[in-house]
Amino acid sequence: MRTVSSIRGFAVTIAIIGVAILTGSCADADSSPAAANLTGSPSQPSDTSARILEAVDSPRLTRVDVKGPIAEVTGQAALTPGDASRTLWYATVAGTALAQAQGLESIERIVLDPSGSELDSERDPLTALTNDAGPFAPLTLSSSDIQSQVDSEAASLGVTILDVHYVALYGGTAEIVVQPNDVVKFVGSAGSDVNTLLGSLGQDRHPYLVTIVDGEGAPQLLLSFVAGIGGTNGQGMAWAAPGVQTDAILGMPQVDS
Amino acid sequence: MNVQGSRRGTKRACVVVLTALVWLALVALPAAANQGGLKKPDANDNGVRAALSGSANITNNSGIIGTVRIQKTDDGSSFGLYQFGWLKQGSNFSSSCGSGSMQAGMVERHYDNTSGNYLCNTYSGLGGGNYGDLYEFTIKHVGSGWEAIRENGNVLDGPYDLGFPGGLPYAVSEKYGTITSATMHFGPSGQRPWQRWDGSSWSTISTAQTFNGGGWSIGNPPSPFTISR
Repeated sequence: MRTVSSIRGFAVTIAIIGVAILTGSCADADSSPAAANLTGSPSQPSDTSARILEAVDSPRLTRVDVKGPIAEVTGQAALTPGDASRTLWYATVAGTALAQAQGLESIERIVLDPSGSELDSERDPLTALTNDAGPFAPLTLSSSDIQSQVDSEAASLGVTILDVHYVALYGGTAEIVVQPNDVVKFVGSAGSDVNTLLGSLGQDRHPYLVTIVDGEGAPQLLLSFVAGIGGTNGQGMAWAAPGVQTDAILGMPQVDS
Repeated sequence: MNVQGSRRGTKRACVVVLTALVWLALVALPAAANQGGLKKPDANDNGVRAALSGSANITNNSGIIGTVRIQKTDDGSSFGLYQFGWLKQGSNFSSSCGSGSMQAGMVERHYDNTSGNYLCNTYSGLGGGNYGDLYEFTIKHVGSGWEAIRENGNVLDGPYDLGFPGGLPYAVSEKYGTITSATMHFGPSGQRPWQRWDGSSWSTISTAQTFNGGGWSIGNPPSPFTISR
């Protein structure tokens, strides 16, 4: 009986395809809506800029432009200590993505305060990526993956996870905002503790930003990394609030007492 | 009037004030991981260079750098610096240079202020690529900023305008976390000695001041000298 078995087989095939499509859609359900469109390599700078802004999904960034051979990103920050450095990381990720997608030479980041005055600016060359995760690579880490990772380590590290801001670039990355129970202790030994917190997001496989805040929510220490900019292995960045003692910042000047 | 009692009270007050001042100084001073090395005080040089070779045994929770550095000041009035050298870091550590295991060249910069960012560019492919492989590290201020220069004379990093054209030349080893041992030779025999650039010529540094965050054995200039622990 050709008809029954053929129809059943056809129905099974359709069902399998449907489940596969649904599974694929749901796998990144927590990601930015733009994520599904970021696996290709856009050719128009304006399209690329728009997609990057959508993937970053943060009011910190206001413009992502191509200026000749330079990717220029403008961001905004509050005047509170550390806020400009947080915006600088978002701008660095976005600018590096644009420069790589468009084959540009360098990345300029400009951070403005609410009045439009410049708080910070940095320019670095684009360098080769040290892994395969280009800016529009498939998302191997979803927002829920990163949330699960940091949640699983939070109790043992004595921190509360205040926020995970997902960025749907470079296979999936995030800013993680943590509030330690004992800020002085955590910041003091941040080198090991942050590494534990990062898990698979660390080891310089993905960009990351860890923002450690005190009981009032004021940033005390920032540690971040972005590949493809600065050095051949990438660029790390750190910021510490005045007076903060940490083992995670290299080269804090030797000061005579 | 009890003069002795008054003097005792004054002395006690002095002790309390001094203790408070020392405590405040310790708390207020910026954190520096454990560093040791040499610096030339009161200098305003525009570059420093040296060949470095050595080795370090570290744990997964630690790391070390060996660098030549120009630091704007040594009194805490500015954290401005530019430094170039070797970095070795364990797999379970995240620092201002990145996360996880690495052996690389590193160039770090900080603008002429006390509240800015530390930006650390790491480079593979210098010399043999491993921490302590013989390599000549040079930093120099040129017209538009600070540059790190390869031993073949090509610019590796920069120029970066950090708001200061000169400062104190340093030879530094800095460890973070617990390391087993470390030795860095600055200007090994027959190689480039530790030298300063005054804007027009290089000269070997023959006198300098030591600084020691604890546990370092620091040799005397001129090169060759060794910083170890």
